[in-house]
Amino acid sequence: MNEAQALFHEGVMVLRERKDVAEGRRLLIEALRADPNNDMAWVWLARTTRQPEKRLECLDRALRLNPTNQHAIDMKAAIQPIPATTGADNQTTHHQPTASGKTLAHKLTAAEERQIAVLLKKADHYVDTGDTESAIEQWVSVLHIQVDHEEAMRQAVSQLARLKYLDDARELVWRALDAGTTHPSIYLTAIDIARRDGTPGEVDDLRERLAQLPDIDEQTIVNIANQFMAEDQVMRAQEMLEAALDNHPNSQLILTKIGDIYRDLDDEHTASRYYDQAARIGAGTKAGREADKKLAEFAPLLTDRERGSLVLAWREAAGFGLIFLFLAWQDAGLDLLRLGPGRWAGVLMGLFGGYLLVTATSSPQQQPLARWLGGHVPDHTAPARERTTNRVIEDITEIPIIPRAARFILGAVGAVLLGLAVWLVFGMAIQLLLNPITPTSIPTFNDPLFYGF
Amino acid sequence: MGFATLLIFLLAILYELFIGAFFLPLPVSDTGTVRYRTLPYMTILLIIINSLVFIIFQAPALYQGAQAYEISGSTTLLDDYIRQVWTYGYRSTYLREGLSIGAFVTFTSMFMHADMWHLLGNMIFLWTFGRRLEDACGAWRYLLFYILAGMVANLGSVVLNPSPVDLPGIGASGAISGVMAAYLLLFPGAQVLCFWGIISILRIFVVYAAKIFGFGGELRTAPVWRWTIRVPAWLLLIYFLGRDLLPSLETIQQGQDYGGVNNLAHLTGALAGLAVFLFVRKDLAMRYLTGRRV
Repeated sequence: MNEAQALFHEGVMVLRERKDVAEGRRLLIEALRADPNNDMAWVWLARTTRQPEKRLECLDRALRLNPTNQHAIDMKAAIQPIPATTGADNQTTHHQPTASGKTLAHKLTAAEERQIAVLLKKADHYVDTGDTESAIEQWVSVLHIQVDHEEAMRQAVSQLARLKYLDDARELVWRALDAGTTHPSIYLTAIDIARRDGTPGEVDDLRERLAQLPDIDEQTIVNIANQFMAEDQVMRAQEMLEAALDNHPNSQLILTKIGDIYRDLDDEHTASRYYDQAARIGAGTKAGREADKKLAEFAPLLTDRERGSLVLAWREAAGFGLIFLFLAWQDAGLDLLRLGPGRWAGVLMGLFGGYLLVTATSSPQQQPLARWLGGHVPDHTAPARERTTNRVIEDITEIPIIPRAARFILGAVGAVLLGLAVWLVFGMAIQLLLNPITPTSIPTFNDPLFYGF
Repeated sequence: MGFATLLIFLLAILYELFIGAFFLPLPVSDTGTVRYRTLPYMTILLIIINSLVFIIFQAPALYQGAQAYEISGSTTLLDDYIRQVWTYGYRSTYLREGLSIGAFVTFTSMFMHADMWHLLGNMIFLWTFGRRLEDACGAWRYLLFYILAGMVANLGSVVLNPSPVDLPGIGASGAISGVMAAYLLLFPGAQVLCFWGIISILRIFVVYAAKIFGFGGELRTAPVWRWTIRVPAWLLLIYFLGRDLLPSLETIQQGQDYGGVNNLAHLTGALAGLAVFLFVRKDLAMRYLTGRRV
């Protein structure tokens, strides 16, 4: 026996006896490196992965080497949709359910649905009469027609496990998995079996596949992540959750959970980004409120949309305008009609000066202004400033910022305009401040006084 | 003023605080977290300015004048104090007729106070509600908002008051009403720690009953006495606005030609709280608009 064969046999033994998928896979890959023409090694390698496309790749390699390899043909048939009933394999006994069921893409005909109903009814009857073995036969027959029939699978596996026919139960479940079932319950059963078999690698693999099912609910995904974390597999939980976002991009629960993981890893910056993403989807849900609450524990995130908003910058400038309007109103003797063109000009100047000051200080990334003024996107590769509790998180920004010199000029012009605006809107008050006119009607202690507020 | 006099004076203030906060809540601190900065230096600066203006500019004339009046019946110093208030307090006459320092009284008046109790009460409210608002706005925008609210309060108190008696208005409470209203707009779910004597005392009985009869969950293990009581911010808003509303309506209808609390200034200052959305940080404004907590 050469080295390649020795590795192949050892790999198969590891898979069969120890159920250690990771180790078995490693040995098979070694064997195939030494001898890539071993078609059975490719077939066994296919069994170590649960991803249909990878399995197909392995099986195709096996069939190219040996087109008559029946194992490869059967496995491939189980993965790919079959247009007609296979009829190739017939079940032997209830504890040797070797026949392959139909694939999932196959839509059941009305006759098949009727047949399934009859079989399930028969199974119920056998259960009632205490004939478990006959009941199992019926469920297995159902699984011949529909390989991942949830009810039949649940019943068959449960009874087979009770009767200690664990290999048969495993085979039923795995066949459904191989066929690409999307029923979460079957994955959960497979995880239970793999856990009982003591094959942690397979458990992890199944969890990851389960999390990527399109029909899986968010809570289950988070539960799986919790299981990973309970086993100190934090990175795996994180990767699984991030992969699950492909199917659930707007899941507040998943986003919050990822945020939790990053927070536990002391990466508050990334954590807050995920919390923020979750909270932005909506604060009306429990998960949204939870995300927002957690977000409040951090300094908030300033998004590029907010940085670049002209409207938000003018909003701040409007505050200046309002203050100047009230100043002008008072200076005009509390009569808006007496404001005159000078004070109105002052109010407008205050508004514009305020805008320039805001642009120079708190909104230097307004678009397209920043671009027009020759702004550039800040260097992402520069060392990030450490976050303190006193500052908004400095997120990586993708929009240009007005150059420092231009900001200085804008700020200076804004300050000058604000000064001029004060002079225009508060002209009379300034004159009185320089030359106050003492009121003559000030009372004394014995007169009715003042009221304070 | 000797040490004993100062001590008696401070004890008297504490006594007044105790009495004032026995039946009605006195907010002393908010319980919310701050997101941006932990040192509210603009709030502290405003408190210092208000205090210094009173202590350096007003208090000597007021308290020494009161002492002189008690000893000799002299009103000279008290007249000085009154002159300060009438010169730099907010009067519409000065604005309309161009007297005193004109519209600058809008700034001087909001940093003056009638007495120590007036100052202390206002500064406690400013400290309670200002810190978190400063955090939400940033120090300089917060200052602008504070001044805007003070101006609106001043304006409202004279424009909406039809009384021909043009008494001067002083105090920071118009601006602080704006700060409170803004706080409650931004943080409606917040809880505020209040001195509230009667509730603290009633709580003793409730905690003992919880311990004896085994109800109340956390109350059973809670300390029997608490100096402060948590009160929802919205409840305080209803209380304070409600307290100002009826007298303000009366002032608008009939005019106010007597001294005392200027409820109308409080109410108009509170209305200025709506303008806080022009001053809060941009990300907070967006968060508010999208219905998330600020």
